Amino acid sequence: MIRATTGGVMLNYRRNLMNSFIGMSNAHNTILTQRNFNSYAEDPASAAKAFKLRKSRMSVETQYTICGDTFHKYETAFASLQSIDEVLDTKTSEHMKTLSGTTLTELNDPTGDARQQLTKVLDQMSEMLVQNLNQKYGENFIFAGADGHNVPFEIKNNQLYYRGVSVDAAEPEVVTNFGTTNKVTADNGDYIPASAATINQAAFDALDPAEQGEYVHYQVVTENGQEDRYVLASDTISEDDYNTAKTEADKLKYLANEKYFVDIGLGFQENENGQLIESSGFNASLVGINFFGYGKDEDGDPKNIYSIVQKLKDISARVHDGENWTNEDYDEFFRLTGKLETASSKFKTEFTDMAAGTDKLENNLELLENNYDNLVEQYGDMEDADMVESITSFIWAQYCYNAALKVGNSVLSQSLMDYLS
Amino acid sequence: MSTIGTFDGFTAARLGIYAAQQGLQVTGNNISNINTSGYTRQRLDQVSLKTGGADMYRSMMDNHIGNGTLVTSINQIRDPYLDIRYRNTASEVGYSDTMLRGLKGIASILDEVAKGDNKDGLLYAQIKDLADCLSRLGSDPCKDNDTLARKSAEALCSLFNTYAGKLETLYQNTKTGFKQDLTSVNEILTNIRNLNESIRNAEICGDKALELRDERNRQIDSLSEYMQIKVEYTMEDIGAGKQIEKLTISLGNANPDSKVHTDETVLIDGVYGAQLSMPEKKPLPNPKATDDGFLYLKRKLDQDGNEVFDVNGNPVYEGTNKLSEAEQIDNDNYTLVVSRLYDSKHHQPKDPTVNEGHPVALDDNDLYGALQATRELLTEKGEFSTAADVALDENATIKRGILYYQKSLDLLAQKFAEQYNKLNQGYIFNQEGNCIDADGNELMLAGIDGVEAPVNVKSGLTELQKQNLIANGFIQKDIHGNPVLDKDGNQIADINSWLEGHGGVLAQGSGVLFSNRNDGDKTGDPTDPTNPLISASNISVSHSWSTGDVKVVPTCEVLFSEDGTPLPNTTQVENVNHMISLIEQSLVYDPKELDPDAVGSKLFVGCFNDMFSNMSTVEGNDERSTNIELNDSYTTLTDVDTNRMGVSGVDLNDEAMNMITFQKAYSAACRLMTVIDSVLDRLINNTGITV
Repeated sequence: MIRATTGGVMLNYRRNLMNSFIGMSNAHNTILTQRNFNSYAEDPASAAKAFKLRKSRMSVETQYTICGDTFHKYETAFASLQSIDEVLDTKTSEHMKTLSGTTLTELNDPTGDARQQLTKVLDQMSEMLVQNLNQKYGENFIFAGADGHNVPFEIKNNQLYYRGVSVDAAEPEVVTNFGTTNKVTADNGDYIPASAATINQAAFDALDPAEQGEYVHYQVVTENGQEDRYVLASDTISEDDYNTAKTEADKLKYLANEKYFVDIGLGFQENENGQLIESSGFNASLVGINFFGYGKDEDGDPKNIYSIVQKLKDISARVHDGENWTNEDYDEFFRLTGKLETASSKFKTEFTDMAAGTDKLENNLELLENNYDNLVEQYGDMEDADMVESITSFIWAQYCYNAALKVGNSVLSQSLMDYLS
Repeated sequence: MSTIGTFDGFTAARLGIYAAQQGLQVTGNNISNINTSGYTRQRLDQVSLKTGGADMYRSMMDNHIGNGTLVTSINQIRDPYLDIRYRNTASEVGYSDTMLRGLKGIASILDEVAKGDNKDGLLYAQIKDLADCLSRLGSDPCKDNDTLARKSAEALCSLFNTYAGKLETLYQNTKTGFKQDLTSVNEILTNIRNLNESIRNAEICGDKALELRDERNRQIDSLSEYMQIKVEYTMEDIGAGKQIEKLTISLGNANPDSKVHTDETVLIDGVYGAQLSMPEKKPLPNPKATDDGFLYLKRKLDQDGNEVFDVNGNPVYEGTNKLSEAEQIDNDNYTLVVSRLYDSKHHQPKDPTVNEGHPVALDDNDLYGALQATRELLTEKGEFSTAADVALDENATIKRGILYYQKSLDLLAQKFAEQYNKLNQGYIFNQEGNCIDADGNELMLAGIDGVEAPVNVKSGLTELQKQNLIANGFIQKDIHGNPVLDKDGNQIADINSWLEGHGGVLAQGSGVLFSNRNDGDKTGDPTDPTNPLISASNISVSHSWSTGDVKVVPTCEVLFSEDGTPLPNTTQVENVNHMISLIEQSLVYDPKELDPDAVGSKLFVGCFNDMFSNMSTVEGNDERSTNIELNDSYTTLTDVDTNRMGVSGVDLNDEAMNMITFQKAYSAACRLMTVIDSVLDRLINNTGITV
């Protein structure tokens, strides 16, 4: 600069004073807002990242709520199942409070004095088990799979129904040609149950004509080749009945595997077909029939605990107080007691699996809490001002501003004019 | 020895006194104006006076002595180079400052840093709140949770509407500001023209009109903040051998396109000045208009009356000055027109070469300064620019004004509504995932090979089914009916359009969740002006959703419905889960979906929140860089101004020195007069007298 003028110096001073004031104001704002930035423009990258972290935190908050709700639902379910488990328990000393104890008492009762009472106990216990599985959490039925707004279990005519489907529904086993799944139809168009008694041509020919009229002919391919056989017409099953039974069995099978997923922070993502990747959600569906059993086993006996107990009850009800078992009844009762143990064992397995699910939810809650804390800390590190640094900066800015003011006072007051006399 | 004039000494003393007195006056004037804006330091011009020449009796032994000093003029001290630098920098400051103010206006609406509960933002947090409500609905699809989701959606729509309204207000305010700026520019141009006239008249009379020049410089400085200008001073012959200074101001050649010359249009030519205006209808950019007025643009039609396109598919325009109302195109590019030059009596210059005597419609980039910044805020659309915009400015796609943010917000709202409406209008499928008709029968779709298979939503369509759909025109289309392409540029099969005509059944309670008015369920029709597409300004929760006729469809799955009574699945939420996933789903935001003529193909890829955040990030980056430019140019401007003051400004020390100098000179001249008087007294009264 060749020449410094009063106006030029003042302009410079004004600009620098303003810069100094802006600096102090910014430092002041940082302390007041306790934030490193208050707009995207101040730090676009950090602002965008901080919002992403905040979004994650908001997701975690929701996931925590959902996970917490699901956990509480599982806790309630756990309590219900624990009550059932106690009723099924074979180890407790209070035999009359357990199903196994009651059945054992019945089996080992030499006089049969309390048989009718025990029958009632069995009936009440089975109903209590069903009531436990109709428990609600909030407004929803816990063990209803994906139909939480409706009562899942219903007893009609001593038959237990799950969501309107008999728990004992099973696809009838019918005769098929050897090596294939092709069902064999009798001459009347019906299917032949695999358990039905059938006779061959020779046996049929030996029957008198009146008896022959009760049979219906069918052809089947066995391992020995094609055979002509006969079955009682009353034993066959019509195609419609077969299809109805199969549909009911299919429904049970579907309902047993029914799932619905909630987002508890496992990723919750869909594949290219728009379907949820199952591992990214939590299956919150608790299906009552998985605990209680459904369908029939290879002996044609129900697998459902209620149905087994009802059968036991029916056998027990046939024998009056003080009477002895018939051998058949005793054997049947004994056999079904074994089935009950099997079903109870299955229940315990499912119960254990559910308990593991509860643990998973509890652990997940803890993880979400940690995740929440981490996220808050992460965006806090970006957004929140370091107060020590901020106050230091402010004091420095204030010092500079004061110095600028002081300099200004001397700059503006001094000139040659002041020394003229 | 030369001849000595008896009273020459008095003349020298008198001139000395006179010069010193004038010097003191100039010094006083300088000191008085030390705080006057635009004042230029004045200086006394003195020359040594020598009278006479060589006379016939002149001897070589003679010594010539001057006769004192003469004050020839009072001059201003200015550096033209610093003026040029100042004015160029002022246009940069004007541009950055105006742009920054506009961007800050946008940021005040869209920037949600440290806003909202827990400082999570407003619209940003509301999108997540809807996700939260959907998650609650997912964990329990009851009516209460559906209502919660609807209330959250209503709040989100309200925020979209508010933001769109604020952006529109900002746009209108900026437009008003632009018109006010134009008025200010025209006032400045008029002032300069009038000052030129006054200065000219003064100069003819021999006055330098320094104060008028100061005012003119001040006006030119102000003009340079609005637009980049070029200032030239030439000498004009006014006859009788007299020349006076003439000022010419033209646009500063700001257009980077060297073929464009409208950026050198003359605004002021001596006593003639132009005015800027913004016609309502689009003027023809080039060539210059005829005397009848401006030529306007209209779409060129072929012999059959069809619109003509060039080889690049851009519409072709032609000029006309007879345009019907219907044919006129709105001047949505805010094209400015420089009028013919007129003097204060509304006479045109005799010389028709200036601007060829015509008004000039300016090109898109002819201006640089505050006016251009406002124009860009009003017109630039970034990735939403059309081919016509790019033809005007090849950098159009990277310039983003208010329109860009309005359109981005509209695109976000449109996409949001479109996606959720689509999800809430799903077709039912059975427990196997196969789409079914009203009787529960599975719908069969043939592949391109003719083999039929169920339409399974879980595993998706087979490749052959997709090919068949595409071959038969069942393809995904955007809202304007244009095919949507995948990342490889292939058409995408649309099963929903097939299901619609082949027995597919919409899920119970399905329908649109969002509409363009909350008293209806319309989502807009691009061909119907009374039924606008969903945008940020009109997005609403649909009437049917608000009345409960439509709800968030929890699932499209219908279990075992063959016998007429499906198994209930009241808490199955597969469809809600789609909606929850959608919040985090990465979507392509294509400007063409909003404006089919847009040249940009991919504005952003990401989820709804990220798209909104991206708008603020883009704005933040622009604001940041503009702020840096402003600081840089302002620092330069202050430096140049300080330098300019170093030359032209008044300094008290300087003036104090001048004051002392002139005071001493004045005293000395007075003393000289006393001495000469004494000498002459001796010569006249006391010489040759004997006492």
